[in-house]
Amino acid sequence: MQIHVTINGEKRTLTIAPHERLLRVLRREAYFSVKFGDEHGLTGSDTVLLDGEPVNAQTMLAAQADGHDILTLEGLGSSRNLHILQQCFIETGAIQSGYTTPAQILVAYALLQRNPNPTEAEIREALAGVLDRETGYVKVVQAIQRASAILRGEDVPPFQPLERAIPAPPGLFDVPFELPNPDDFGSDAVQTRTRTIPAVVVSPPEIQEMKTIGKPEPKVDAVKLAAGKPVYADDIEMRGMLHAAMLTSPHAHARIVKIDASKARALPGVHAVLTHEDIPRVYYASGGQSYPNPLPYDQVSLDNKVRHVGDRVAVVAAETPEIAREALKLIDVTYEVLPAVFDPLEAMQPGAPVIHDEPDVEGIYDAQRNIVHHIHAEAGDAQAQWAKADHIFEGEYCVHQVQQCSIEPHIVVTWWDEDDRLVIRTSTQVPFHVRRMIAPLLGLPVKRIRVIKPRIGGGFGGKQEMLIEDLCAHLTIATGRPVRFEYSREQEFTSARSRHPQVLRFKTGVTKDGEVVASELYIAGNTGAYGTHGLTVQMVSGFRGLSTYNAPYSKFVCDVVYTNIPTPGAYRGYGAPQALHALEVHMEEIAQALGMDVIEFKRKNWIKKDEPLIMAVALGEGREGKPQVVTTTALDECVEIGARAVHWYEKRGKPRHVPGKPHLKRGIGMAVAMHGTGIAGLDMGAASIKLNDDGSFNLLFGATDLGTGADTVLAQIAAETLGVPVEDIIVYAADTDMTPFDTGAYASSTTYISGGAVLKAAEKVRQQILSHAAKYLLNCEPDELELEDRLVKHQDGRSVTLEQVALHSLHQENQHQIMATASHMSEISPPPFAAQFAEVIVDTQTGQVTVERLLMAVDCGIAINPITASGQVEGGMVQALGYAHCEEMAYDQAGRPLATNFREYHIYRADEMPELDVIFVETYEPSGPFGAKAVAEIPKDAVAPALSSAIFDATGVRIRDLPYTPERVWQALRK
Amino acid sequence: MIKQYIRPLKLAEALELAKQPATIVIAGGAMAFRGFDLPYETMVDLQAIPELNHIETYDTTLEFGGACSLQRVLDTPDLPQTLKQALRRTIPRNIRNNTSIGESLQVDDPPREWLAGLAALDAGVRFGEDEVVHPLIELLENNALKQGVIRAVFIPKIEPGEALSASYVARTPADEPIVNVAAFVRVDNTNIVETAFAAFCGVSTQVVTVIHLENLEGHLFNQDAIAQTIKPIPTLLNPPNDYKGSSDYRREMATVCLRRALESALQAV
Repeated sequence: MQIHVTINGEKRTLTIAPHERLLRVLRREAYFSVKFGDEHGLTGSDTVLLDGEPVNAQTMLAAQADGHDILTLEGLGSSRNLHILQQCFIETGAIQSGYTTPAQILVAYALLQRNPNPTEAEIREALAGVLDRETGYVKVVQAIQRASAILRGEDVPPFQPLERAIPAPPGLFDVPFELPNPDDFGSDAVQTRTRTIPAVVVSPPEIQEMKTIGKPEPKVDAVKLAAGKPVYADDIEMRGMLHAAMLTSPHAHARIVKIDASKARALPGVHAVLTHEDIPRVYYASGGQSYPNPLPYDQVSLDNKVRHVGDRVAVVAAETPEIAREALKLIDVTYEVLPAVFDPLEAMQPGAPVIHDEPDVEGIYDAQRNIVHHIHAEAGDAQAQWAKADHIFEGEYCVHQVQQCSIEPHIVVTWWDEDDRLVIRTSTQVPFHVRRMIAPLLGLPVKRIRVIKPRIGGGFGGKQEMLIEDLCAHLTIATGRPVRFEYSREQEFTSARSRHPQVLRFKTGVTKDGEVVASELYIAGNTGAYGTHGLTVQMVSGFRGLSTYNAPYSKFVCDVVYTNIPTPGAYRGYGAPQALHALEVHMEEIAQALGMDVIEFKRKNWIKKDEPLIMAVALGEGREGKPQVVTTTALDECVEIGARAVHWYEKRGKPRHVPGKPHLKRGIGMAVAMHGTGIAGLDMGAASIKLNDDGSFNLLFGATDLGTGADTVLAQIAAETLGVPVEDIIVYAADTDMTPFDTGAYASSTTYISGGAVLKAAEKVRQQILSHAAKYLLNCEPDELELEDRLVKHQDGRSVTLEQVALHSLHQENQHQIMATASHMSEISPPPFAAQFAEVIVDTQTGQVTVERLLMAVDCGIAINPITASGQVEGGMVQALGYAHCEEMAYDQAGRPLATNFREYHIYRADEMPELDVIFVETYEPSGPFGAKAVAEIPKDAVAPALSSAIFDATGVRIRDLPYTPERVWQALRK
Repeated sequence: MIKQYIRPLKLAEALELAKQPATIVIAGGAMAFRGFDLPYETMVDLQAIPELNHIETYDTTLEFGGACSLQRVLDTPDLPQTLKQALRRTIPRNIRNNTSIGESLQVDDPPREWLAGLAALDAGVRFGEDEVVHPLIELLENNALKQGVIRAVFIPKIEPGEALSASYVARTPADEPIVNVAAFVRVDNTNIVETAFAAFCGVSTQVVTVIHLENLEGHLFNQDAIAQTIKPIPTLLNPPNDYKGSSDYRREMATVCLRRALESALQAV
């Protein structure tokens, strides 16, 4: 059928099928700014304006748009002619991965069309339909506020995102933060009570001002993201491309007795159907980790047994997605349903169903008891330290399973190139690992595989996995055609990865003076159906759980256990959020029992500068670790500055309730966190830099920017070293054919590890420039020269431009390419530290917890780019809030997931956010590039225990298990 | 899969088309078209039928054509505030824009606070060419909301002496409610309750459970009367037991939410 529409002001006649959604048609017509986020229209990434009003293109037939006017982001402004809203999104740092940015800008545009002067509450309500998993919405709101003022013609000063204090003057943090109107609480009104303040940076006095380091440089990819350009894995169309669909198991545990795909294969439009009968049985571990991948190798691409609801059964490639899905219905599978087990403690009991009973699997510790790994690590003198303990405290804590929920689902496109090499264009955090890991599964040598990582619409660890690339590649091999394979949102919940649920038991020995002398941690870690990251995540849990307070005797015992839940894997924080929740609640319980102030008790015991981390050697990640010493820490300052900012001392322990509503009790809580910066002795990044004719530089690296701003930070490191503005650094990453190796984006490593590589490469290039200029242009020694402002400057005032150096070295004399490649790894992993504060209101009649405010004071070393770093903290805190408060992967008794969409699995919306504040308390980490440590994961670590602390302050009840649902709090209050 | 898309201009034509098998007759779709593959072969789109897109304001009632979007409903000045809050709290604007009022009542999992509010307020529904306005409560009880094309929804205005109030419990301020209650109370000029209804969600296998608060009627509307009214509520409910809330919790919350809704109503009348 034909429809007549006006798209971005242009009248169009389009031929469509009646069933086609508007999203598909618009993308087919190259309006790639309209994104798929879910099949329910609940992410809002599919938003377009229909006759000026936002609607979801995924939940609307294209036919319904006939006769209407459609606006996509492409119609609002282009990269060469940005709309004010787009400009403000760039200036304020509102863009991280950019996947939902087009939708956010469109709803903002629609809002400003009908209301040029909106309140913050109105802005937040307008944004409510576009979920953002990255920014915490703070900078998005700021961008819209700023744009609205500019569009009204107001005299708007330059954007000042930061209040920098070197060092903090007295009274800086005595800001009289406004609290929301108490009467709002407990009402049925939409709660839009968030206020945004600039991030604050407190720097040590010895820090020198630099040209680009420490400056809020706009992201190097911001313009194309603000313009909605086709930069993601799915933003490509290839002639003859087929669409994949995957049949998944309806049973939690079953054997495939018979599978008949003949009817599916016979369906017109179907090009391939693959089952376990069609693919070689090659064992592997899907976690994207360094060689050799930790055991067990317990997966094959398609198996004759399924181990969780959502497990792989078969894949289809067909002419259209509809045909592919129709073919799935025609695959006849006979299952022998087996007993299933979901609880890790039950799974270890004799008689429990054996989940991996295949005889040829490699590396399972005790398959009959479903124990994948048994970890035992200890350090110190047990007898001596336990003998010092006057008190012994024990506690059990349970943490649950949550999903990463990147708004861009897993998506991959594969094809054969003209040299018969397999190209894999995929949304991955680990392109080089994918290339190495997929090769044996496909029976291809690594040299015949190229992995391209375009922009990624969020990852959070969920894409640190070789998850669907193998199936898509098998379909390309089978058909010879390009194949596109994208998970649905439901599959993200059933067939992707998630955070490991754990049962944690702490036993801690303390002297009568409050000194922690011994600590033991047992964890039963639920790794679901497959091992993947099971070993390393639990090892990190043990390391993190036993390091902040660094007891002289520490012991970690862990069982990593198979069950029949969908497989957990890497998720931002990687075992630390689980452990630090249990640890911090446990420590507060001890302080309470000893009658000590919680901050004083923690301060007495937390690890100090120059102290070794006692468990560092015993607990590496999947292998023996490296000795670690705390080289820099501002934890004391973070706690003190944060406490003053939230008026901790005035509020903590003081009964407070909402006036006129005694059942609404207020509480304030805190927790501390220590994380890592890359994996010591394991992570490696490499970078290449070359000088161009005009004095600009190409910077190539294998590091993968998930939206964090890593590309920008790495460009800033190069720019600072080479004396040019960031705009002169042309970044390209990551492509296994074109860029140097990098282990990938995980473990908070990119700034520190990949940044170290960039710094080294830039230093080499700098030396080459200085040498060439000294010898051929300035007739001096290189050490008499400096690079600054695009110039090679001599001490005597003479200078030549970088362009002159480039042209001379390339074309005129001693011709050569000025370029360098460097690699970097680190034997140490200097920890960042943070103090997390939370303020809540607890409804004592319902148990409902309303979070009023989260503030994190962070020591991440030098914040190379405070605006992207604060975005990391804001977004991380909100993800952590979801973990603590509302997100939950739940199952029925048969193991069927109950929350597979964003109506049942709620993630925080813009119009219900607590106030978010970030304070950077900088240290200078000598091993890091320009003093940097990590910032990406630590925001995930301490929100849950800080909320527990606040709930305790409000009500006197201690909640040990996550999430803090109304019923869990209500039940605790009734005890 | 949808194989045919039809956009009739007249109601009679739409009603005739609706008789075809495997046909969905709807305006909007933001709630109905969730998921990839729709179990229909024909979509009859009601967006161009004038009789289904009108909004009329009468002395005591608002009339919305079945194809009116929830956003247009929300923008109607006389719509009771409690219903506005119900539309706003969990349903974002982009979904309100492409969900018709008829659709919102006929989808499998309708928005709970919206439905509870309408039920408590004794909204009415008119189907097709039928002149009869059916009480929503009756349709809910008889599971008859999907009997045909919703031509119009009639929502009473709040008059002096009347109040529609609501309360909910949820994990976060914008999350779907675990339990929610809407209560409608009408008192006479001596503050004696003439009529009182409560509509609950999350307390039974049905989407909405409506309870006629007869104990309250004929009594002075005050805290004592509210206390007496909520007492028997737990015994009247048989809530489900799931990860969002146990039966016991839901039963208790039904009482708490009803009390709060009635207390709000007491303030409002």
